[in-house]
Amino acid sequence: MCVQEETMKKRRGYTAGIICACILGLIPVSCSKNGSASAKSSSKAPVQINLVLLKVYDFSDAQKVQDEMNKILEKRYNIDVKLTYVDFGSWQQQTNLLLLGTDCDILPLFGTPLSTYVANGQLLELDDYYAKSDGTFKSIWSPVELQGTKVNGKLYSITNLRNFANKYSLHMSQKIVGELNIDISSVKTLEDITPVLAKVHKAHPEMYAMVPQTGDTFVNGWMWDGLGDESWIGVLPEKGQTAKVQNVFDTADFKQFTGMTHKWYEAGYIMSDALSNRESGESLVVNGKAFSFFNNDSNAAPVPGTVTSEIIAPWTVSNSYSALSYGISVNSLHPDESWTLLQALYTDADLATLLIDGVEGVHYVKNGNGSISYPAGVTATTSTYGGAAQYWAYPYAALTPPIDTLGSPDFFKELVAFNKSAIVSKAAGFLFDSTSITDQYTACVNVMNKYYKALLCGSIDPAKFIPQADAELKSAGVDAVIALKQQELDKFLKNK
Amino acid sequence: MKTTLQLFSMMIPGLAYLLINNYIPMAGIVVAFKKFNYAKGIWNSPWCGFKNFRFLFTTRDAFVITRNTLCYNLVFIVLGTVLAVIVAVILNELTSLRLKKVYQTFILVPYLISMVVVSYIVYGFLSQDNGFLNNLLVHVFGAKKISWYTEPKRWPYILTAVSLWKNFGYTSIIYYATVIGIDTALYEAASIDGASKWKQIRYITLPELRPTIITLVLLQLGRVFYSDFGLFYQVPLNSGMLMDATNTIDTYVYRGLTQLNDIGRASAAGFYQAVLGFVLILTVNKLVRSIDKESALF
Repeated sequence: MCVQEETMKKRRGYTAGIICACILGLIPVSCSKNGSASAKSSSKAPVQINLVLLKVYDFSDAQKVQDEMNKILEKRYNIDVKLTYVDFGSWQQQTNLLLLGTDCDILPLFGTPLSTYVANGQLLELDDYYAKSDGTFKSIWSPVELQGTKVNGKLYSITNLRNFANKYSLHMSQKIVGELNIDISSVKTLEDITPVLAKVHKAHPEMYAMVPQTGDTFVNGWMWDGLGDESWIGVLPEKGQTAKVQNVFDTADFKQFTGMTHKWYEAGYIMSDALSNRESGESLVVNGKAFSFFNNDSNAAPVPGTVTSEIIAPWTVSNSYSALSYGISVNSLHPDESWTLLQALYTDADLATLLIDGVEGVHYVKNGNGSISYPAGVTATTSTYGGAAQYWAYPYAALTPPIDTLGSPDFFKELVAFNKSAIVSKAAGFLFDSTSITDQYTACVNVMNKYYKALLCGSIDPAKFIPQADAELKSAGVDAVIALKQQELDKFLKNK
Repeated sequence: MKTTLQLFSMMIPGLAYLLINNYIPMAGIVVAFKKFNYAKGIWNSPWCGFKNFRFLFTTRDAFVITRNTLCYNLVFIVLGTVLAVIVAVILNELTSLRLKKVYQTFILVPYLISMVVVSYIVYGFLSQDNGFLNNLLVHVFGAKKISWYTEPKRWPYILTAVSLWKNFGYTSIIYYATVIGIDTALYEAASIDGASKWKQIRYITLPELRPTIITLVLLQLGRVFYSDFGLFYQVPLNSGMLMDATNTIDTYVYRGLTQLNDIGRASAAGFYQAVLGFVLILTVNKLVRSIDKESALF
């Protein structure tokens, strides 16, 4: 039944595609006529731009915010915006469909490598627009950061403000740390964690001493740089400070990490159902079911009830800048106005504040110190416009006051400084293009899906399964993938 | 002609639906032979011959996924049919009308539950720490816990059991509908001649059911290269370690291509499944026709 639905969806996609293709053939003609005729008159009607956004919270008040934004937009830019929030869970399917049609002008590129969007021809080239844009906009991103969203030397999107760098920390339950007198300042390496977990496991055998970061993902990255490849086929180990692409399973970093987690798993410290877990480490710890989990962090304050200890100092992976960036759909009917709006979202503080924080007095209240708070009784999860807590999903939150739960009224200034202070992978800005060897790549993805997560959470023995995984990867053609990656990287580094 | 015209006009909505939903989209098959480019659209994307099909055959997974898809489906068809026919016959033997209704409802319920929900029910049984089966093993039998979601060897049985449990209700209702349509005079005559219940089933019910069984099996054979995505993806909770036992053509394509947004390859896989299913259904139908012309589909 489900398959039938799947194919139905595909078919509907085709029909939509065909219809769109027909419409697209006609509209640019009629549009260009209208455009040239009405450009002279100053009283032309505002152009509507569809802005697609990612949501992880509730946005039932999006219409209200959209109306407020349009008041400003019509006056300053003669544009109307239509906000479309797409749920994190169905992001890929929905945005792929949106990109086929004309209901999407600006969208965040997320979840799929930027190079894939470009290879599929889904994005508009932005070089000419960028060259013509004003100085305030150009001063936002450094050349390195701008390079991060270029593919084959051409600019396709603009990165957004979030933590480009990640530090990796152990998050622990504050209550248990206090109860067992654990000295968290002594926890600096993986080895230091073992006695802590042992102590917790002994005192609280009913509790998981350690759980995955979220679902079945034990930790989202560590010391290896996937070079823009979410499946980790061929990585740079050592925080990307080498230039030799290696199979992740063969790196010392990975062997050390999985050796350790397997030891913990065997000792009963790690949740035995880790691979079928559906909860986040945060909620398990806050609800008292678990003691700790690894997390990749920015400079944001830890969740109340937890304390953290840094294990890996901040560093920036090569594809960090393109991991979430804003681009314009190739099917946009109004590319010029889309660019104007995109630029405004990075430079117009009133607009950015409305978009991210919602309407003052309704969705937030101002504090004296420059931060904002939710109205009394409201939290990120109960707010009817949850943008402030997902600042990292918007173009440029630095223009807005931070929500108090982030820990500091200067949060965004500190975030920019955090990004600047971090070690950056040698391959920063490099994007792997796998299109010429998709067959081997697809086969390798399937092998990685089989072993990577299981090894990471320690549920299988690396001594036995790494050789097995390597053998399967080899027959799937991993050598060709790594060789191509190395070749592309060498070329990139030479041209840099 | 006048009377048939009226009847034919009744077909129009159905035909229109079929045309719009099933025939026009078939033009999309061309995508399978193209290197699809979103900017150029379906018709202007460059052709690439059979390149999109290569990944289905050249990798080491090709054998595993084809084997899994085919063998699971064949097992599901055989066991599913046997189970459904047995249940249909038993339902017919019930004399209490109320009990009949109750049983019909009960066996249909699993069919109506979403696979995502089913996956959590299965998880309730198989969870390593709190699962029903592991608790049973430890507390009742004193055995060791089993790590269900990392060991693939038991999954062929688990998946078969789940699939049968979920689908037998629906098919047995179809068979039951045929069974109650059998002329009761046949049974009366048989019982007068002294035939036992078993003999009545063996010589009246089953032969009467044969055309329905053949039709349903033929229809299922047409989809033998498709797998129930929910069953193979959701129920094992997408656990990587189980892939040798749970990877089918559909899940392989889904896992490998969602990151790549590769419409061409996904269409190629769909086309491949459809063509093989079509060839299979033609062959089997021909076979059926050569044995028993009445029972063939066409």
